Amino acid sequence: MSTDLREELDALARTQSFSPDPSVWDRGRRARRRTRVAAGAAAVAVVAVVAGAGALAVRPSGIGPAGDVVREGAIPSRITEPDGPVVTDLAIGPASVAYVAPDGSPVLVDATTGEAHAVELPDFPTPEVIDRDAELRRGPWLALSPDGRRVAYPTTQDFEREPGQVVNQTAWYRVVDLASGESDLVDLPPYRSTPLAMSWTTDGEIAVDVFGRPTSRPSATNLPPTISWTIDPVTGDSSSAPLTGLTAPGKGISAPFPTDDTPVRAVPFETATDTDPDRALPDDLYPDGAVVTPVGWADDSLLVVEVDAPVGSYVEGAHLALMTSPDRPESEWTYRILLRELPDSLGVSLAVDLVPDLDGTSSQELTHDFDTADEPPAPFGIELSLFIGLAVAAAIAVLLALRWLWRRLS
Amino acid sequence: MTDRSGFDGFVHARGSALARTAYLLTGDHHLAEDLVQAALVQAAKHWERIHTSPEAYVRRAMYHQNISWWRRRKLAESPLESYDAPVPAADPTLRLTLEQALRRLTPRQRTVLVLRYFEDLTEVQTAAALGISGGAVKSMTRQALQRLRVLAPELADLVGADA
Repeated sequence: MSTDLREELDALARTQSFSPDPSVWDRGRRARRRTRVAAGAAAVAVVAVVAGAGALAVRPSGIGPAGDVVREGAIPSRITEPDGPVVTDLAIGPASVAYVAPDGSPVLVDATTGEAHAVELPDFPTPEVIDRDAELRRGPWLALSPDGRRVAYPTTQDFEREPGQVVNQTAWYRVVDLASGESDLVDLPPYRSTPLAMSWTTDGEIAVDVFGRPTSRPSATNLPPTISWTIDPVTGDSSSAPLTGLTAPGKGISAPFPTDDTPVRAVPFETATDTDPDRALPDDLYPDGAVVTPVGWADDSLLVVEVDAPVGSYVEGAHLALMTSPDRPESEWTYRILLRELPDSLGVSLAVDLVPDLDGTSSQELTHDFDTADEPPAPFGIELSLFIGLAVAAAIAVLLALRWLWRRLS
Repeated sequence: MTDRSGFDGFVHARGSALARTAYLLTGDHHLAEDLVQAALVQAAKHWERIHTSPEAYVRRAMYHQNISWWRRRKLAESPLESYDAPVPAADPTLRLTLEQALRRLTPRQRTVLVLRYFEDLTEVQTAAALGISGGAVKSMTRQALQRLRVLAPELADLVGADA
């Protein structure tokens, strides 16, 4: 059977002719080149995806709170002015900046969104009280805690001591918890005068500068000595502090508040050893000096200052800067602009814990641009694991597409 | 240039034989020509990597390419009515010839028959060439012969009696 079938098949097959196609070899070689190009492109795609995912995986996690959008928040790169209604529920969460607008209204900047809110604070001084105290005031009216979760201020009110003589008097301090929105009254230390400046220590206590003896009519020529107190906001216990102004976490050096608006070429400091060194301002930035008000200590030796620089300075007007304290060797000194612009205000308070640690790199991001963060999130903004998964899926899709293309063309 | 001349020599020497096999596989002269050319293009593409027998490579490419083409075509083709029904024996002019009967086999069945009875491959060699098991070769061979008997009873002498 098989012999017969084979013969029949052979006879059948012999009806087929064959004429060689001279282009077969060239077509085969072209297909080979296409395949190589496609394979190369696939390899490049895979390497790019893997390298991108790897770069993301090993990307530094940021240099601190301000570098990224983080839960704790960040210092905004631009402090906006409030444009919404006055907020009465004070449970707004951590704030990055607190200031009093020129019209006397207190403003808090949300640490996580950068949005500025005009707020209604209980017993906050009226604009008239603020104006009356303007000449003697040395620091901002609002003191934002280093973590931005609490804000303190004096409940200064006015009263008519004698007919026609209205004076300011402070009976309590208030501390508002921005997580709960609740506020507490805090007892004043001895010498119950209105504080010249108020701030927070790194230990979570309120620090105030006050006149060293009671006075009802202080003047530029009759200024009592300045002393400093710290008050526990929970217990109300107060104790005198050896240094005035903002004392560094190590308690060895402090930056006193300026007593007037005279520009200086060197920022004065106080130390426990009474050496009281100065920290010279960079001449090239401030050829005519500047008015420098301490804002807070970002770390043991890094001070945040509000600088009001005259025309002709590198940055004119009010801005924030970081400077190394003079108790460090001069070789370690640094001076960096933190915020180039500040809103018109009666002094700024900052949640200094949100200032990132400096690691010496000039490109380090100190503040966060919340306007950019409002844009649709970039792929890098999603969870890294999800991104890697998507990248692998994309690589597989690319390979499948190239394989399909390869088979279609070959 | 050596590759090119070697390839041309191979095509010149074996092209006709390959074309004959291609015709048996496809049952169509034009398709057979296309099948050979497609397999030769594949051979040219991988010529440097063919270290053993170019002919074995091209034949294998034809077997698989033909089945692949059939899969693409079968959805577009109209189904045959009474596909397995034999032409009435009373009309000898319509009797199916071997050629026509082969066309009514599936490509796999036709390929197995060609390999077994035209190429004279063993079941093991056929299985290796098609990448299937020996049992599958045996089964498909039996089915193919059975179908030929149904389609063209007059070919019984050629394909053997029904078991």
